[in-house]
Amino acid sequence: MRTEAGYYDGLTAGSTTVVLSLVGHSLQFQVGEDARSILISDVRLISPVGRGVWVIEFGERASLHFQNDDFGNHLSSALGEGSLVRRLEGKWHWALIALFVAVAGTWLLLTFGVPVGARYVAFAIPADTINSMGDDGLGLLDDILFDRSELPEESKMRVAKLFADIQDGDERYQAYRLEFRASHVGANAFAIPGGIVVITDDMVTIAESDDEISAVLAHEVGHLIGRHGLRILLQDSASALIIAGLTGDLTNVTALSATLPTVLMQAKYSRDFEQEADEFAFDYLESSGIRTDVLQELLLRLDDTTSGDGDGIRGWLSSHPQSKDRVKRE
Amino acid sequence: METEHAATTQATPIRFSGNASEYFRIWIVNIALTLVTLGIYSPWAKIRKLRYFYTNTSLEDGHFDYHAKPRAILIGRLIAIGMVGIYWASGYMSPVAPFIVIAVIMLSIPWLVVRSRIFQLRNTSYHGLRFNFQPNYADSFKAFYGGALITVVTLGFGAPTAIYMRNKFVANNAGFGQTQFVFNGRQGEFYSIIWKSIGLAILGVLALMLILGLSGGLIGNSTSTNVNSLYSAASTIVLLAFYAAIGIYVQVRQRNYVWNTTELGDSSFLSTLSVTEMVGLYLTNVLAIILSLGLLVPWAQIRLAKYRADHLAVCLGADWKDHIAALNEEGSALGEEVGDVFDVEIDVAF
Repeated sequence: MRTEAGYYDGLTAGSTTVVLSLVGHSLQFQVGEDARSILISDVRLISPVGRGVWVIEFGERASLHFQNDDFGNHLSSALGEGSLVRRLEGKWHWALIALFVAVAGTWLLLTFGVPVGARYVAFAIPADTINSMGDDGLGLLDDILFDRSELPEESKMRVAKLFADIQDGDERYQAYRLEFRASHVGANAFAIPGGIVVITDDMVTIAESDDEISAVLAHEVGHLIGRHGLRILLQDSASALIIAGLTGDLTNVTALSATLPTVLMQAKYSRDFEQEADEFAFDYLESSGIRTDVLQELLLRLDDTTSGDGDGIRGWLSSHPQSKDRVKRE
Repeated sequence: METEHAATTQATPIRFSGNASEYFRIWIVNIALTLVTLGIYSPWAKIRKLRYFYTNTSLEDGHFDYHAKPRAILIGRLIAIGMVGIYWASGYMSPVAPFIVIAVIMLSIPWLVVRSRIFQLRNTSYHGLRFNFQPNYADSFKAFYGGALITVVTLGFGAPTAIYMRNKFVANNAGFGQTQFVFNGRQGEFYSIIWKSIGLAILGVLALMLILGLSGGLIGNSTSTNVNSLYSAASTIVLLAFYAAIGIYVQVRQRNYVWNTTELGDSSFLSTLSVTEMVGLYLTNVLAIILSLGLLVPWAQIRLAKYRADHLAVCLGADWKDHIAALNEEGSALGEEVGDVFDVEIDVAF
């Protein structure tokens, strides 16, 4: 079996065209007057990616380049090696199977693998370590987001009592504490990783009953007990790495198209945690004999004051589920 | 002025012969195997991708090739992931620790750039002959720190000098076999490119504000919040696309200038990328990728590679075939891989 090939000595950039033949276990070709014979056990065969050039490397840096696929396949079977990957890349039905594996694999990894992994890692960290992080986080937010609370003492006492009632539910909740802050962000409540719940003055004033405040506080305690802050951080980093890894060979500008799936995925993680915290709150309300509708009523009232509706596109990008959907799922 | 070499010598075009349907299969098999092996396959995937693009790029009767060993890339990636992990974990020890980690990484950029260039170039060959990069750490520190110092001292106005210094460093230390690339560009052109891009950015933002202001007035009265949110999404997209276009302008002009003022022995280069064509290419690529849910990524990459190759030619000197290979050991993949994960994009044209 023979083919035309280019011979490169690896010392100069020029090449010589030779006729390469495979005779038994040796490769033979002639450069000028010089007839060469090399044992195939002394060469390294590099198959092309796609259609292209086969390369035979031997000696210090010399190489032979040829395009003949038949010769290449013949030589690789003579060498007892055949590239499995090359075979997969060669046929469309393998490509379709690969496409299915890629789609299913990405979906499984992002919706199950990442959350399960993050949950495992987050709960492997001792509670004491987590709780020691709270004050740093609160200090940072005090600088950028919060002012001193201007609520009257009696309101604070009332809300603190509601919080203490939730804490009585489980001894793990005892490490948590409640802080009051005023903030330009309006009516809101925060669960700061490390066991601190912050409620804004506006939230206390906008609530029409103690039950509504209990619902909000229980929701935030749900975030804390589930270690959602840490888990979302882990999930966001992991999903960004995975998506960047899959699309990572895109150049700068085209990378814009990798941002979209990352943003959508992270919004989904956030909504899932909100749902989990809602369920925690519903369970608490139910066990305390409070109507579970109060959380939804409060949220709908908040939506009215901020005049945002989240139908359509904004729903997918939203970090929170739609208020009208936030009812207990049976 | 930029094409003075071309006038005297015949320019030989670079050819790219990859095609989208063939590359699609390579790309999707790469992704599937990377997922199934939980990422361990990714260095092999990278090599197959680069080999496809390199071996399909040719000049005269020779083609390019990529020779990196998967193990070197895997180790580099593991170290890079380890560094990301240290950065991430350091935030839990103290609020200032991540800044220290970033500072250390920033300080080691000159070293990383050299390692990355060495790895990339020594693993690239044309016509069976390897490219090369001089491990010139002292000059790298001078180029990067000196440039940073000039930028800071001049309150940013001297930034084009810093870009010039980095380009010059990266070009002058690259070689093919034992022949060094020589960069003859001047600082002035970088000032012109940067100032024009800033001018374009200001004009563009003013024009956008005017258009948005006018149309916003009309839509502002609308009671539907959906119209409003759609409108704000649309204006964000227009703004992003505009910024991207400015980025492409800077990239294309610099790339053209650096190639056109660089020589290799008695060979020179002719880069004729067009800003408008490149913007069109990127825009249609992004649209195609989004609308096809990512399936047209390979098509987009092939198009881009073809356009780039079609607009680069080499004016070959008489003695280019006699370049002697520099027998250097291969660089480690560390520099390059750290650059990948942290996205330390070095703005050089090649």
